[in-house]
Amino acid sequence: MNKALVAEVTIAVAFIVWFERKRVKKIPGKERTLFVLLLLSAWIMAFFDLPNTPGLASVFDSLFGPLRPLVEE
Amino acid sequence: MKPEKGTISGLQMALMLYPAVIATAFLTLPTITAQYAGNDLWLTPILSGISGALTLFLAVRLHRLYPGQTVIEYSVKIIGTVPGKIVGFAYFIFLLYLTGVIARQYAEFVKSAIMFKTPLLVILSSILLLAAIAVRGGVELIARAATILTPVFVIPSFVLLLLLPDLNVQHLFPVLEKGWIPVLKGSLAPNAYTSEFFLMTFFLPLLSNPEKGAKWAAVSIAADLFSGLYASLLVLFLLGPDTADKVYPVLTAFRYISLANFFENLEALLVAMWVIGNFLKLSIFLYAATTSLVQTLELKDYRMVVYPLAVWCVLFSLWDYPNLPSLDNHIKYVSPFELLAFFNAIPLLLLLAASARQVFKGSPNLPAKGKNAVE
Repeated sequence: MNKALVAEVTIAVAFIVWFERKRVKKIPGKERTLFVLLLLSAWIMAFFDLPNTPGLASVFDSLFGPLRPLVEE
Repeated sequence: MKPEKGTISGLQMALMLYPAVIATAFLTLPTITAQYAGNDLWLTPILSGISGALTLFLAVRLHRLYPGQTVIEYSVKIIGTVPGKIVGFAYFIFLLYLTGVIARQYAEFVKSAIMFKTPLLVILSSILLLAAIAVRGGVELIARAATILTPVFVIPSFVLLLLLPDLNVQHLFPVLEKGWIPVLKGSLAPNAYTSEFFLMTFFLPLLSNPEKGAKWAAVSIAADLFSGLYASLLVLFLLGPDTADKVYPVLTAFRYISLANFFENLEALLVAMWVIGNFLKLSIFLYAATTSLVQTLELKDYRMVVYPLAVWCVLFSLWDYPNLPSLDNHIKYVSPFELLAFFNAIPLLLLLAASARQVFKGSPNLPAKGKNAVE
């Protein structure tokens, strides 16, 4: 867990919520849910050790792995 | 609020697309292509015209069949609501991931070139914050920023011509010593980068003169090819066989410039150029990611989601890349396939499906079903 990343994402999320507070009140429920979900999921993701967590890059690695001999020198 | 048609001009689109592709290509491609093709690396930007032509054809043709719509909107019309939404969501996740990777590439370069002690997170966050502010301002803001900043981005590359006395044209020979296969392997990455021009699908619906859209996109692609050729030749003539050993050959070229022992340390100019180019590139990719989400979920206002998506881009830029070699390894061996899959293969399949539908049923749209009635 990278403390700097967690701190930064927490501050960013808090700032975004403060910055958009007036607009959040005006939008319909579906968009409000999406906004909250995006911010909450981002905050939760910050707690992982992201550089060493398998992610989309690993998915593409495994997907296009068989094609790798085509591009090796 | 969806941007209306007539928001941007064809020239602005060309000025946006050019840095959207060349900003990282200029820096990373010479070394990748040199590792495959050796001194034939200058042939690879020319071959990247294949993907350029294909991408232009796909994006423009699909836009002609479905005027005023982006790939997210017409994929629903071509393959149905559920598969179309899945494709739209896939594009959203891919574009968000790609924005993160581009930001990471940029941050690694800036850190290793000039800001050795600055934490990566600071560099990543600052550029993504800037890009997010630009995207939140709307596509007109990005277009106007590109109108001013793209020339500022291009001009410093001519400073490399100061190296003319140090260039050795003999590095060009022997031409095609190892045949075409290494050149073809080396041209996969440039082709993949050129396929990023498919992002024009997000801008063609907004043009004030859509019939000129194809022409301006072609101008942008041609400029991209020439820039790639210029960078490759320059780096080849300067460094020769050493090109493949450098992580950033263009940076090495800029460091080499020393005019009358006075004009030195011009890599600072390169880094400034890079910040500008990558700001534009990240703004456009973040705009594309935001638009894909908004159009997949049919939201009314895109501005709410821009900042949360920028935070997600910071996360994606760190995710699964513990260090620079793992990033470079991924970019060299896996990125070409993922870019070509999303920007050439999927649009090609969509175009084939739409054309088949037009041939057999007379209309490229799905049959009217009450709610899904064709306009």
